Amino acid sequence: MNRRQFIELTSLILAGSSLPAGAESREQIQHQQKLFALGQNFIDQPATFFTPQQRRLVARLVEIIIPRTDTPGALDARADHFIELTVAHYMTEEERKTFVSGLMGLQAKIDANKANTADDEVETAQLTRYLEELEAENSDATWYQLGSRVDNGFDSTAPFICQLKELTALGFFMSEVGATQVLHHNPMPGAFEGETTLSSDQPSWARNRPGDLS
Amino acid sequence: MIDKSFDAIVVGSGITGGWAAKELTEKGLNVLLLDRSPDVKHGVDYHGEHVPSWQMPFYGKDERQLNDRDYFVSKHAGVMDASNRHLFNNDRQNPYQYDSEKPFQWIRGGGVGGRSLLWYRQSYRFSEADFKANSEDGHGIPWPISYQDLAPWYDYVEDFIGVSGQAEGLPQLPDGKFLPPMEMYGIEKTVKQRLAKKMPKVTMTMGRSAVLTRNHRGRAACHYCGPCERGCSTGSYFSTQSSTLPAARATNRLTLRPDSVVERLEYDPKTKRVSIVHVIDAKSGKRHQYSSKLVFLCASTIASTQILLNSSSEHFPKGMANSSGELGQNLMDHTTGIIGSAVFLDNLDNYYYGNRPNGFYIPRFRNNQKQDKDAEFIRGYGFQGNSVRPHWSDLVNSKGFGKVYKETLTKPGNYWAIGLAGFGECLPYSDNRVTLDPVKKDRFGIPQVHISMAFRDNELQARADMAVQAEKIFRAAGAVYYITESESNAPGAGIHEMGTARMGDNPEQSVLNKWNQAHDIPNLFVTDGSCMVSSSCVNPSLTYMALTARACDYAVSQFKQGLI
Repeated sequence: MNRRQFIELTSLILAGSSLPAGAESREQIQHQQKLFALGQNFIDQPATFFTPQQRRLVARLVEIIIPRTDTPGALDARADHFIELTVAHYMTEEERKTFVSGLMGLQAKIDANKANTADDEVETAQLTRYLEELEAENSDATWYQLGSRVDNGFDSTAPFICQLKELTALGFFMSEVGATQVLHHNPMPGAFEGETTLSSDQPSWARNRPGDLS
Repeated sequence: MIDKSFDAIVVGSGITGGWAAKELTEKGLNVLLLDRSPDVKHGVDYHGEHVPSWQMPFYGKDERQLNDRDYFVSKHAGVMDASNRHLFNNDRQNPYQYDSEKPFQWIRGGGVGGRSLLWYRQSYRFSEADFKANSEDGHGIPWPISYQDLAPWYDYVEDFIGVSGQAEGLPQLPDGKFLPPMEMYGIEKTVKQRLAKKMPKVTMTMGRSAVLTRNHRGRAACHYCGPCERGCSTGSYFSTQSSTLPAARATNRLTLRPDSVVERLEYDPKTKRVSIVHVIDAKSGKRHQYSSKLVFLCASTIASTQILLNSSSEHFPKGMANSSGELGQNLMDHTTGIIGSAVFLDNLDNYYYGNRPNGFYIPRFRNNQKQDKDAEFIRGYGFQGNSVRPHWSDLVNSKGFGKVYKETLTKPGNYWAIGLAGFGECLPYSDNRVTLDPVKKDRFGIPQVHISMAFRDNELQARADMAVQAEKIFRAAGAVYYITESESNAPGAGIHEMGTARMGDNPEQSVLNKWNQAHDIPNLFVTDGSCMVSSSCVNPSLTYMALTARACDYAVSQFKQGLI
């Protein structure tokens, strides 16, 4: 990358992912094409939506959902940052309200629990129990039904816990870390074989799009 | 004021326009190729090709606000995202009208090359029975050509574009000149074997696809990266840019003019020919006039008819070349949509390597040769299928958190899923039609098209039968679980729109003769989907290409004999 490209990249990153609402789609398309040409990682752009407390909580939650094991986890992939960008710029007003009030509800539980314990920070085990409670309470959501899957759309009826799981998984498996260090990534296979042997510890192929057939 | 004169003008640079440009230039003509959309340069303008998931905005989630504002029809194609939005039509800028109770999805390309860059590349021949269907059951009018007339042109086209597939010897799906087929997944081989035993009438074959399985005519074999619809700089699938445009350019007789909206054609009653093509530059708004000895309309079914309807004159008050009154009528599209999904617990120790840009195909197995006794419909349908080994996006709604959840999502799921999509033939109905809106105009002042189309009883009965047969197939194939549904997508969603300027021997019933030449005007040819007399149930693009090459051959021989 030369100096001019670097300056351009920096200014594009600071400008964020999207132009002002109402910009002509031609401008938006050209803006995106520049980002592609510069190879900008989506999560390289700053996010300013969450409060510091919310940001800390989301970071803890994604690591509980997809922890670092012998392979990197959601925090390594900055899934928390992906979620902040997505809540801020992708979600509809209604979906955003669901997410933020869900997050605040969880924070309230933590605060109430904190009053009863000496610990500064709620235990991970306790936080996991809260998530399990939320999952049990919402287990009748459409999102949990058989055949429901993550694709390029978004289920606007999904409760907070489902939004959180979906965006954590998306922010992890589609990230550079998740796609290349946890899944198998081969952007240029050069051949197709329909019947290979699957070994027991073999991860899935990383894919181009969420829910893509190819 | 004529800006420039050519031997031939081709309107539209998609699948058929590219073919017309190639054939006409190779036969010695100087050709102007017009397209209403901006240029898309091969390779250079495939901005999203090979872009990894982490560079996609929101990692590939739809940009809903932008889509809902500007791409509210294009988004239904199901393959548009930030990587290739520039190849699609902007629906806000280029509106059309339809009856409010009959939604029609007119999915269009937005660049030079049109939908040749975006198609699913399935390439099937119409059969002898398809060309006889109208005359035998009395729907529509007879085709003016038979399978034998088109067979050598299918050969010619397949040889040039490269079609991979498996010969099966089926009369309802004639074999072609094939490159080696792509491989089936293990689960598909299992299902194929079981069907051969339990439902011998049902053939399962690899999709016949205009994707190269080996190097072909200077184009590289597929590298199996996956999303063809982003454009392919190795030219491994057929598009105007990869195939016909380079051939036309090599003759040095081609002028390509992007951003050129054809407003109307002008008829000269003295010479009884189309004399001028009126063009509006989409960027500058300036008007231009070009003249030529031959005019080929290849703007796509609805757009070519729109141009003819908007080219009325004293001589042709109902639209150019419309002395029959048929122009705009008999719009067809295949019924489409998922007909069933099934879960299999076989071949679980199998996986795959590479991304296969193709599925399997179950050709028509109903009403072949003669009407099936238990069929409540005439004609037929085919199934396109694909297999999925679930990955994290299918498993994300698993319960739980932590290490086990992570492991579940990281590994392929413990089943295979197979989906079948039904493609059903649509009969020609005169009141499924395209007209010009009497009031509404587009940004160039051209009257918008108004589309009125609905599927009828025969299409819906066939749809119901698809669900019944899909269930039988899934049971015979050994599925442990399946669901079926019979609803079709809206008309237009098949993106196989056809008819509206049909061919025929009788000039009172048809717009074009058996050479795709207007009955009324000898130097006017229409070779895109608008010429179709019936729709078959197979994907039509290959047939459009063969018809175009055949029409060009005829037109040039007439031209050289001084008859046009």
